[in-house]
Amino acid sequence: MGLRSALSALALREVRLGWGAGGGAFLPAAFFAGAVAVAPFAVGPDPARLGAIGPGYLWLALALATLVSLERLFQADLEDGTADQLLLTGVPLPLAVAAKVAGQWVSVALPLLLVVPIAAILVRVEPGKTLLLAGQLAVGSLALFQIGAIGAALGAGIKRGGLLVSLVALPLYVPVLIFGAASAEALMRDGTVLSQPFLFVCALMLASVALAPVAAAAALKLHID
Amino acid sequence: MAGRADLGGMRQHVTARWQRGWPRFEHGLLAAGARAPYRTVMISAFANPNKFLALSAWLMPALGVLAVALLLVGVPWSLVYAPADYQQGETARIMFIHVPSAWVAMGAYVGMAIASITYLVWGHVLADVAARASAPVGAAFTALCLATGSIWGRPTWGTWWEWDGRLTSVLVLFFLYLGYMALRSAFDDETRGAKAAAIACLVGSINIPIIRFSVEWWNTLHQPASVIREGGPSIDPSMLWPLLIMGLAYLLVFAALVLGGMRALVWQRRARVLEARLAMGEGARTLDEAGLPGRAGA
Repeated sequence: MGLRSALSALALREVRLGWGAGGGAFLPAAFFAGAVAVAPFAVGPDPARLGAIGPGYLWLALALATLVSLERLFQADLEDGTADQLLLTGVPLPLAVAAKVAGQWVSVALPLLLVVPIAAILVRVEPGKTLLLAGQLAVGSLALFQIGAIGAALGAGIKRGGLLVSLVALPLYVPVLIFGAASAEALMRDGTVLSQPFLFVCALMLASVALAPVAAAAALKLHID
Repeated sequence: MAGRADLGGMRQHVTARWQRGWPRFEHGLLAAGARAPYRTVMISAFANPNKFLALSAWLMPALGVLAVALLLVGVPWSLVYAPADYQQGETARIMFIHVPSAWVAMGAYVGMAIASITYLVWGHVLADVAARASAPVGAAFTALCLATGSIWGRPTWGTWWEWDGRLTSVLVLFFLYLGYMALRSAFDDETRGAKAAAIACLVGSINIPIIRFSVEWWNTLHQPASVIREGGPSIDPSMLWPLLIMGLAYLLVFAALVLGGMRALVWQRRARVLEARLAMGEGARTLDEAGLPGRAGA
């Protein structure tokens, strides 16, 4: 089996597992929707205030939802021995990790991004801009998934590693959050999609896609005997 | 990591005591005998725990004494004799506490990153011990930097906390320290915890410039750097000198504390080895022979 087909098989497996019975790929989307829906209870239903907070809050909810979903990214594979098999296939582990994360992104982030336009309307984003905002979040979510995968791989073998993954990954999320929220703000202000902060988000996404799998693979290797 | 070379020729650098202590230690701690001794090469003088213990036995108190002496000079100079700032008045004196702690807070993380690379690449256990001992001390200096920055912010900016670019990036640095320590302590297996923490430290160190840049881009209220900048320091020499002395004193305090922490960790490991050996019925030998646990090339 060629490398390309092996990687696509890995990614597809992730999607199938996510969308299959008990996969729970829709839970982060539900978490995201719930987190957005409770925001008005905390800050009040005032449209002006919600409109000011909304776009940035969507980025925050996205970051938290990715953390929730990543906790189990490698855990199950380590427990049932899939990770050992992965190592035996001879596929370079960084590429295998990248394929896994890509599959996870498709299975988890795509449903979440479908929720974004509705959630955006709940927090008073102009209806015409919700799809553009979802597009920006899509790019950012890819960066968040890759970065979070490092934390997930580091904490994979640990009992109750979820909180630990959050503590390790959250500081690394700061740049994406800053530029993501700023790009959303630019979008709300004058409708520019390719604003300077959004270009930074794209740069962070590309850099993390290129580099994060290497770190995540090194971390994952620790847990494989 | 199995492909790492085992160059037998390098063994001549290893001291006799090291040779006696090391392999037995491996059998003592890792009873399955899973790893061969002498996996990796490049045993420098610093990688030898016995030499380290001998060196640090006098270096640590010497650094401590020097640090106290410098503090005795620097604290009165900076808090009493240095001129007050023409704009901020006496409140600016907190700079002499605040700025050096920021230097040490960042320098400690850089040092941890270098130690982590050394540990991951060459497997020097002592490098890992150094990183591990640096973390709590670095976190403490980071906390000191945050606290004094907050206290300084109250009279000058009119608020205890401002989401200013540099304060925020130091806050993120603090969380990186916390994450490092939490990750480390979460592992049952010490070697795995050490490697995971080293990877986390390296990932964090790659991110620190990005975090700094993004946070400063995001919001900047903090005054720009005035000591380390292009075109020389903009700070007056009457303030620069006490600041530099305080910086050196902080650095020495940090070094002495880290050396002390490293010594404690080395002894702790040796004690554990002796316990393991006792449990295996091998009988206790001296602590000196116990050495350090196996190298990192698993």
